[in-house]
Amino acid sequence: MSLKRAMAIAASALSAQRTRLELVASNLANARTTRTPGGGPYRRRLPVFVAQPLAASPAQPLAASLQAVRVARVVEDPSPFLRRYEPGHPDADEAGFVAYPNVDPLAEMVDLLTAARSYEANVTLVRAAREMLRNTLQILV
Amino acid sequence: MRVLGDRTLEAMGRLLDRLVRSAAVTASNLANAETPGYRALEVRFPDLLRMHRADVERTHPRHLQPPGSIEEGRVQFAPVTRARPDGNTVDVEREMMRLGELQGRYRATTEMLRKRFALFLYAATDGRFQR
Repeated sequence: MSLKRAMAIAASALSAQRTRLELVASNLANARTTRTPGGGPYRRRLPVFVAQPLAASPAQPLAASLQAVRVARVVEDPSPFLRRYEPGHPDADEAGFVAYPNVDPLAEMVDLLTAARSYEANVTLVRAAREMLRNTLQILV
Repeated sequence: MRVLGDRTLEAMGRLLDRLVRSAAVTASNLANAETPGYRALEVRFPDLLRMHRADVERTHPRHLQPPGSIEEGRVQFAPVTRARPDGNTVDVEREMMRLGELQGRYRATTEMLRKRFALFLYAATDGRFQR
């Protein structure tokens, strides 16, 4: 049944977009965090999306070309930290500069909107698949 | 009117099957709308009418038959509508439009099937049973 497969693919995308949303939340929450367990300020985190082919049966070669999505791993943004002159800060270096996380709230907001829109698009697909399933059930009603 | 082995029913069933397959391809494209390097897919089906005629013209068991995989449809890369630096070729608007279209066609076809079965019922009950 292909409709179930379509729903499974959409579900994988919902999960991936939610992970992305969580990372945006983490980045925004830690936009000013100067101390982490690993030492140093917080680094911006990004998800890496990877297409994942569905397991195909020999009877249905179409399934071989369909691909779900998953978050392969979470990477840290290697861009430099923001340095700000704040001599009174406990994490300031000898010159009085504090390294703040490389999180740009504006970029995070854009990411947030994109993730929400992608999530919506996939919810629309789930709705469409559900509607089609209901239409099928109504043939004999 | 033939009730069993009715060709219209068969054609409608095939159409539903195709629409469902298209929906699965759209799902794959939408899910990977932001996967770097993913290339959008589309599925192409042979003309139903031509397939039908090919069926009809087969008058001998040893005549050539269209290959069975013809129903599966051919999956190919969709035309690229815009270039993106990450190599992804999914056009979300196109996918949403396609989804809406196939949903409407699915609805129309199931409705036609429903009416057809209602007609059978009407005939089978001497016109006494109506909905």
